[in-house]
Amino acid sequence: MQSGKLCSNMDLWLGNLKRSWIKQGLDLKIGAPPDQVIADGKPSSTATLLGSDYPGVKPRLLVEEGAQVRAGEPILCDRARPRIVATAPVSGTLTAINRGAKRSLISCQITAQDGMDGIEFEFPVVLNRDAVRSMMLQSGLWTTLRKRPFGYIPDPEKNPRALLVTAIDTQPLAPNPVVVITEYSEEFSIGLKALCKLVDAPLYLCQSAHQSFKIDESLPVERVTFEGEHPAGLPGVHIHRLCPIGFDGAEAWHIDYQNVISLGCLIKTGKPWYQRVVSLAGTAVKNPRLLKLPLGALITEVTEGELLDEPKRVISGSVFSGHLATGLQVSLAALHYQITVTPESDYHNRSPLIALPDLDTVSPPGILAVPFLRALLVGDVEQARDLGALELVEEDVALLSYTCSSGTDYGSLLRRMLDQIDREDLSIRQ
Amino acid sequence: MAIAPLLVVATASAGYQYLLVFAIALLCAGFWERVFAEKRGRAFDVGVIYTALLFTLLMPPGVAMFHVIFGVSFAMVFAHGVFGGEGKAFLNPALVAAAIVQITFPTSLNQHALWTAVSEFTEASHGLMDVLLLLSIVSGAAVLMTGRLVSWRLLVGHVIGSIALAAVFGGNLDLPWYGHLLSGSYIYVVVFITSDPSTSSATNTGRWVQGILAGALVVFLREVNPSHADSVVPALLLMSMAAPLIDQVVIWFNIRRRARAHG
Repeated sequence: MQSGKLCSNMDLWLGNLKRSWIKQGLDLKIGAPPDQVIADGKPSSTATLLGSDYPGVKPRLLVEEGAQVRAGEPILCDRARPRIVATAPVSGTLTAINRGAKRSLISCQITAQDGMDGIEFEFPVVLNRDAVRSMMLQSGLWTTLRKRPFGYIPDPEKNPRALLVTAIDTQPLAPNPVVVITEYSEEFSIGLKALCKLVDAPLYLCQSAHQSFKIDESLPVERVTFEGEHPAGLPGVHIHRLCPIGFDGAEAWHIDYQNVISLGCLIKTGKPWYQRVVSLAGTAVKNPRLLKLPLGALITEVTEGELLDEPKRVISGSVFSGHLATGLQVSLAALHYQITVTPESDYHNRSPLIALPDLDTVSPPGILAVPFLRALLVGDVEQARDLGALELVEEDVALLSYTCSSGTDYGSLLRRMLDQIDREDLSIRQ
Repeated sequence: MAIAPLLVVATASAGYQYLLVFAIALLCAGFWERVFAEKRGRAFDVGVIYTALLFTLLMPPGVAMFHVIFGVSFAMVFAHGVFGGEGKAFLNPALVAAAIVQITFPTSLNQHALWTAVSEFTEASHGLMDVLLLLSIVSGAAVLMTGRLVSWRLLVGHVIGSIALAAVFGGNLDLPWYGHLLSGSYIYVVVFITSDPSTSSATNTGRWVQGILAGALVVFLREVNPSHADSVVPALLLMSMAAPLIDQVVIWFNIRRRARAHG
């Protein structure tokens, strides 16, 4: 609470904020950090689209099981907003569509085939707002944008109050964005230039305070540095500092650095970037490093021969907010840039929430940790909303779940609550 | 573990009688915990050992066994068990037990071997035992703070609150400025009992407010009513009860700020 207040005062004094120091945070030591040099990963036989990659979308499949698809071809679209499509990251055969409860989509699998060309998208004559939007929508890149509140894929007809490019990653064992951006600096610049046209709102480039990279200084981009332990790199924290989410229905959008590179690739070559730089690290990893992997790669194939023979858990994403790579979710999620391997975990006992002072140390800025968690636990939607639920998504409360003695997964409680606020239209405070 | 040095010093200074009081308190608290654990179908919480220990050190060694049984039973049932036990109760059972004994049998706590009474603080000769007692409490506080089990804001708040009010109000008791902090069972109760996270304020601002107000209240009650038995236990119990109210005010301000800041 204090830090949020302090910051908004500083905002007024300085006119705007260039540097931001995050007081809250935790530096978790798990295994050796990855070697920050990008190496080529193995090709994957299968690419998977996970249903969880498309939050806020009710998917309608556009392709039958068993059909041939080309890379870039739409696989599914949103029922309500059919312009939002997810495209195949690889050419091949759609071999499996896995559904869960109430016919929700869990995953689609595409088995790769050689000798099929991907779709080449047309380059627009004039790069204006509508052109960039339709290009991102057609190529499926739109689904990598996220909005606050709720963390859903934004509506293409709307305009946010600000667009944030996240070029900082503070999650344990994450790849260093500066290494990746430097490797693809041309594509990143092209992508950034296109994003400036995407919205009629300020564009913030959020980066680490310690390392920087060059961009075209003439672009109307405001660079903001963030300093501190995790969660200093989370978009939730940046939005809190730069354009806080209130009860007036305004939105902030954000996109991460690797998808800016992908947008740059799309403009430069007509094809999006079908690879991602992913860190493979953790306790049982023989050679922790950065790998260039195809989108939606099977984690079992990636980690084959890379791990020591000991009890372990393999996670897509970070140790705080990733998902276990098991069952139907055994592939890398679209916005996860790390594969984390941790020792077989000792499960927390279920016990009551104890108001330890540490919870305030790791809580997202401006959030009263214990009252907020209590509101989540008892399911008090209005109290949770008033205490700042709209500013948060699952990843923002992951540190609280980790620190809390109760062993509760607050992320899933928050998700359920956000969906309810959205469904019942409670986001505007009476 | 934090309390271990204190226990050694206390036993050395007050003798074997403490072990007897502790045994009775432990049996009694254990009995009620067992009853609630069985009826509620939850696990037996070994925290009762800690509760019995904290309570014992608040009693004079010669306290009547009946008083111990009465106080502990009342606290374990009405301040602990009915709320669902550790982490759910909002008052510390050891403190409630001590308060009940003090209120019900006011004469039982008049002479205390362990803690120097406020009225005797200036005259009393401060021997090696007092210094050891203080050291063991301070080391306990250090252990609890490095283990991040208690909030430093709350402890510093107590120091600020009591010294500030003594400066404004002092005079009645003729104590040095640090006298209130060091006399009676004040810092012992603060460090080991009321700073328990489940019985104190749950927000950082609330911790400051609770600490400062509680420190001020202890000094205030002592200064206004010097003839009465030490008011540490009831004053801190009252502030424990006020913690949810303090939090509620902090929550209210947080909500108002959020609603105003961005529409």
